Amino acid sequence: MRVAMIIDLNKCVGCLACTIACIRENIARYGEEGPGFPEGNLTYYARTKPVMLTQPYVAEAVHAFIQCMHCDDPPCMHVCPTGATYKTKDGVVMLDHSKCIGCRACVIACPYGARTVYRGPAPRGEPVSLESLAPGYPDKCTFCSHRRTAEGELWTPACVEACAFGARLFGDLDNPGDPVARMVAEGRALALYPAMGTEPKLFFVPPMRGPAVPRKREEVSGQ
Amino acid sequence: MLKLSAAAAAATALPLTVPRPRRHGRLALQGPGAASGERVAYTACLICGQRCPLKVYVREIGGRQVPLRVVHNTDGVHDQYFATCGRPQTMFELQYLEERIRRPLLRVGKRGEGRFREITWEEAFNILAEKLKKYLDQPWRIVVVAHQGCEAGIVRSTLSKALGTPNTTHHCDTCHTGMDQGHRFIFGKTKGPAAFQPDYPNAKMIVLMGRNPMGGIVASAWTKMFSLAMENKAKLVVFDVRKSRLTEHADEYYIIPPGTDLAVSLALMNVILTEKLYDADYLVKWTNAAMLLYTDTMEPVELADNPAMKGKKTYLVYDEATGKYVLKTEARKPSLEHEGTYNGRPVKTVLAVLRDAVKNYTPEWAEKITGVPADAIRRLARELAEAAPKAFIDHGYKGARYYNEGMLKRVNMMINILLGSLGRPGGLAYPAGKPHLVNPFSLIGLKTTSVKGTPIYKYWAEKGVVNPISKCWSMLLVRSIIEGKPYPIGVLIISRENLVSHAIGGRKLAEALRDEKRVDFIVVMDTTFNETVAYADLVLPVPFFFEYESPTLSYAKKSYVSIITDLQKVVDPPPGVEAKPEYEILLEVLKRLGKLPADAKIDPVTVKTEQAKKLGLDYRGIRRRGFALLWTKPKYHPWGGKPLPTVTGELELVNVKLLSEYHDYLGKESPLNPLPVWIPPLWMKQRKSGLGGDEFVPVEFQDQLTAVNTFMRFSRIVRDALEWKKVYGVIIHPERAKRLGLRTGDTVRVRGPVGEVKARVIVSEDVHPVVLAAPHATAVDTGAVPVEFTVETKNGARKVRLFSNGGGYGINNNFLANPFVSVVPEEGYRAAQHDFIVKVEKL
Repeated sequence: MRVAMIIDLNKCVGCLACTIACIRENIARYGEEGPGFPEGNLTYYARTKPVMLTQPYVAEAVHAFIQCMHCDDPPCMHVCPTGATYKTKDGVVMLDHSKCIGCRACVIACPYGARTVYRGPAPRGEPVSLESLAPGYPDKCTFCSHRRTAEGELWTPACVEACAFGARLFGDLDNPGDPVARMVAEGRALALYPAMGTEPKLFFVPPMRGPAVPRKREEVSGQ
Repeated sequence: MLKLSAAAAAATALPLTVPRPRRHGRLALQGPGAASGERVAYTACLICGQRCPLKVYVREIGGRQVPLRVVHNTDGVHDQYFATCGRPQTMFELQYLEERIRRPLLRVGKRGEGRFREITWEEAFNILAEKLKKYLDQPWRIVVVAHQGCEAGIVRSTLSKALGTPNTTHHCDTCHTGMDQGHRFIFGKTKGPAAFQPDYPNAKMIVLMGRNPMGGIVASAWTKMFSLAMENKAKLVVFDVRKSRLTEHADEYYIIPPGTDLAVSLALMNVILTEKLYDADYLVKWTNAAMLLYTDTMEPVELADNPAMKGKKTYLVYDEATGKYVLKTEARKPSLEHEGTYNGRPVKTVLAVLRDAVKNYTPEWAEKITGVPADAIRRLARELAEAAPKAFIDHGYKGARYYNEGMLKRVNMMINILLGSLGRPGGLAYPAGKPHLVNPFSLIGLKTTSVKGTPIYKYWAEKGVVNPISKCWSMLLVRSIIEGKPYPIGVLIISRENLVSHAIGGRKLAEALRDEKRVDFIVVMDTTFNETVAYADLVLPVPFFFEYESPTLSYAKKSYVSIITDLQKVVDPPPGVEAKPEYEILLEVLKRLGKLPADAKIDPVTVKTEQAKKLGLDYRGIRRRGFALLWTKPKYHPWGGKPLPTVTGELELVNVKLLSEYHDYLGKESPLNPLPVWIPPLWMKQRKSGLGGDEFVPVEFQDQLTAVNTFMRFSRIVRDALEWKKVYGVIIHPERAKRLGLRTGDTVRVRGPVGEVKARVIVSEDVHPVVLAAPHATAVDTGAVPVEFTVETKNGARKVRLFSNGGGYGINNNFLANPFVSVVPEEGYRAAQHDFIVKVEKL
C-alpha cells in the first residue's frame, strides 16, 4: 500500500474546514481552561494551509494548499543526519522524535516549504495524539497516521474527514481500483512541480475552465 | 554533499532546550469512526444561521469534553444537498472565548459605559418581569429584535402573542431586502434568497453579480452544488469589486466599480431584446410579455377574468395567427413585439415596452460606467442565450449594499425569464418546500393577548416610507430610537442580534441608546460581549447552539430539498458559564407575568416528538440520524408550481398592479419605476466628477470564516486565518495607495459621514481602485462604543475586551454610514450599507 492524497481545486471552496480540522487534531491542546494554542499565527502551524501558488510552480496564480507531499524520494529524509526522518511501509514520511537533533536540515531541504518549527512555549493542555505539534521539533503533515488502526488498512485524515465538498481524497496508489490511484493514473490529478523528481504523493486536480477555455495540464504541472 | 551540509547545520543549530524523547502524557491512539471513548452528537450549525446538519464526535481530553471532530451529517443518497463549511470547525474554541458572557449582568454606572455586576438568574428573571409589567398596558412599547439561534422565531412570536406587542423584527433589511423588494415587481410578492435554487450542477453557464457562493453567507448546500458546477465545467462569469477565490474559478471576471452591476445587466437586457435572443415560447406561456399596453397612458388595454385561472385576469393581445386583437386565452399565437393601434390609440406589447425602455442602455453605454468592454457584454448576452435554459444570472443573496440593488435584482430576474431559465433544469429552480413547525409555547397553555397599538413600521409608512415589510424593519427601529418617534421605547429585548453592529447607526445610534428617555430598558441575550451589550441594562447569557438541547426542530434554511434538523446538545457550556437558552428565560419570565401556569415546563424532546408527528414523521428516527428529508427534488416550474399572486397569475415583466400604483415614477431614476431603468449608486450621485484622492467606497465582505454572528471575529483561529490570507485590514489598490503614501501595515483613520474607525492597510491589486475592502464587522468606532467592559464578580472585577485575541483593525460600515442617507425609503427603508464615501487619512 502507498497512501496518497488528492486535493481537487475545482471542488475546493476555500472554506478552510481542512485547515481548522488539522489545527484541532494536530496543533491545539486541551485542558481545563479550554484549548491551548502555540504562539504566532495558527494557520502557519496548520499542517495543511492555503497558499497562492505562483510561477514557476504554475503558469497562472492559483490558490492551493501546502503540506507535506510525502514524496517517494523525499529530500528531507536524505538530508537528515540522524535518520530521524523516515518513510513508513505505506509511504508516509514521518519523524522519529527520539532521533531528531533539531538541526532543521529537513526544513531547509523541503522544496515545498512544508515543514515548520515551533520554538515557543508548549501550549497548555493535552494533545490529541502522540503525533501532535511538539515545540522545538520540525513539524509536518503525517496524513494523521495516528488514526491508522491496522497495517494495510486505509484511514481517514482529519482534513479529508472535515471536507464536506469532496475536495480531498485519501487512498492507495497501489490499488488500481482506488479512486485516488485511478485519477493519478489517468492524469487528472497532478503532482506539484514533478520536474524536481521528488515524486510527491500529494496531488492536485487543477482548476478547469469552462469548455470555452479548457485548461491545459502543463499550466499546473509546470512542465 | 547535502547530508554533510545538514550535519554542519546541526552542529550550530542544535536546540539545546528541546526535550527528547518527547512525552505527551497518557494518550491512546485513535482510529477512524467513533473511537473508543468517543460519542456522537447531532446538531446543525447556526453560525451563519443556515442550519447545516452536523455530526460531532466528542471525546474527553484534558479533563474536558471536546467537540473534536466536526463532520457534515449526510444522507447516503442525497449527499449533494449536505455540507458544512469551516465555521463550525471552530466550535471547540468558541466555547472558551474570553468575550464569553458568564453570568447574568446588571448595568452599573451610566448606560453605555460598559460596567456591569453579576447577578443571579432569579434576580434577572424578576427584574425583567417587573420591567415588562410596567408596559403591559402599552405593549407596543415593548420591542423585540431576534434573529440568530434555534429559537429566534419563537422568541418573536411568543412575546408578541403573550404580551400583545406588534413590534417584533429582525435584520433582513440590512441583508436581503433589496432583493425581496425587486422581485415583488415580477412575482407579485417579495421573494428572498431562499425562494430560488440556482441549479448549479446542471448549468452550462452561470453569471454572478454581487454574489460569492464560495464565501459569504453561503448555505453550504448551495456551495456544494456550486462546486459541482465547477467540476462539471459550467462556464462561470463573475462581476465583482474584488478578486477572490471565486474569480480564480471564473472563466471570465470583471472587476467593476461598486454598485454598477446594474449597468451591465441593463446592457445584457438591451442585447437580448434588440437581437431577439429571448425564449419566445416561454414568454408567451408563462409571462405577460404579450400583454398590450396603451403607450400614451401606459395602462393595460384590456383585462378580463381568466376562465382558466380563478381570481386572475387575462388580457388583450395581438394574435399573429388571425391578425386580430383578442384575449390571450383565445389567441393562437400571441405576438410578443406587436405595435399598432387599438380603439384609435397606440398600443404596444409589454416586451416591446421593455425593449424601448432599455434601448439606450447599449453595451457601449455600460462600458463607460463599468469599464467592461462592450464587445464582452454583447458576447456574454449571446452566450447566455445559446446556453439557455441552462444558463442564468444567479439571483444572489445580499441586497442591502447599494441604493439600486432592488432594481438590479429585478433586472437580473427579468433576464432569467427572457432566457426562459427560471424554473427550468440548469436554470433557476425553486426549493421543494418548507415545513411548518409548532411553537413549543403553544403546547403548554400560553395565555395569549391580542396585539395592540401601531407598529413602528406602520408609523413610518404613514410618514412616507414605501413598502416596509412587517417582519423586517431594523433600520426603522434605529430611526425610531434616534428620533424618539413615534413613542419612546419601554423595553427593548434584543436576542442574539448585534443591532449596534448590524444596523447603520454609528454615533447617532450610540448616543440615542445612552438616553434612557428614548429607551427605558434594554435587555440583551447573547453568547459574548459585543457592541450591543455595551448598551444593555440587563445582559442574559445564552449558550451556543451546540451547548443545549433545542426546544424545536429546525430546517436547513437554504436547503432545496427541505431537511428537518435536530439540534441536540453536543457539550455543556464550560464551567463558570451559567447560560440559559431563550426558551427557559421566556418560560420563567412569562410565569412571573401570569402568562403561563406556575408549573409549566418545556421538555424539548416531547416538543420535537409532537412537531415531528404533525409532519407525519417519527421523531425517534430523526433523533438517531440528526435529520429527516422531507422532499428530495427541487421544483422545476416557471411559477414554482402554481399561479403567482400577480394580477394575471403569471410572471409579470411589467407588473400590472405596480404599473398603476407607481405610474408617476415612469421615466424616473427610482426603485419604484415600473420599468427597468438605470439608477446610479448614491456614491456616484454624490461625486459626479469622481472621487477625491483620499476618498473611497467602503465594501465589507463576508470571508469564509466570518458571519452575521459577530462572535466569529473574536476567534483566534479566524483572526489568524484572515491574517494569513492577507485580508485582515482595509484592502486598497496600489495606484491609490501610492498617491496617499500608504504601504501595507500602515494605520489609517477611515472617516465616514457619522463615525470613524482605525484600520490597517493592505495594499493589493485585488480590489477596484475606487474600493476600500475589508472583512465584515472587523472594527469598532471606539469614539462611539466602548470595547472594554468591567464586570463586578464575587471574586473581584473582571475586565473583558472585545477582540481579545487581536484584530479589530478592519472596518464596519454601520459605524460610518449615515442612517438617514444610506437607506432606501422606497424599499421599506432598507439599508444601503456600502453606498457612501469615506475619507482615508494616514496616522
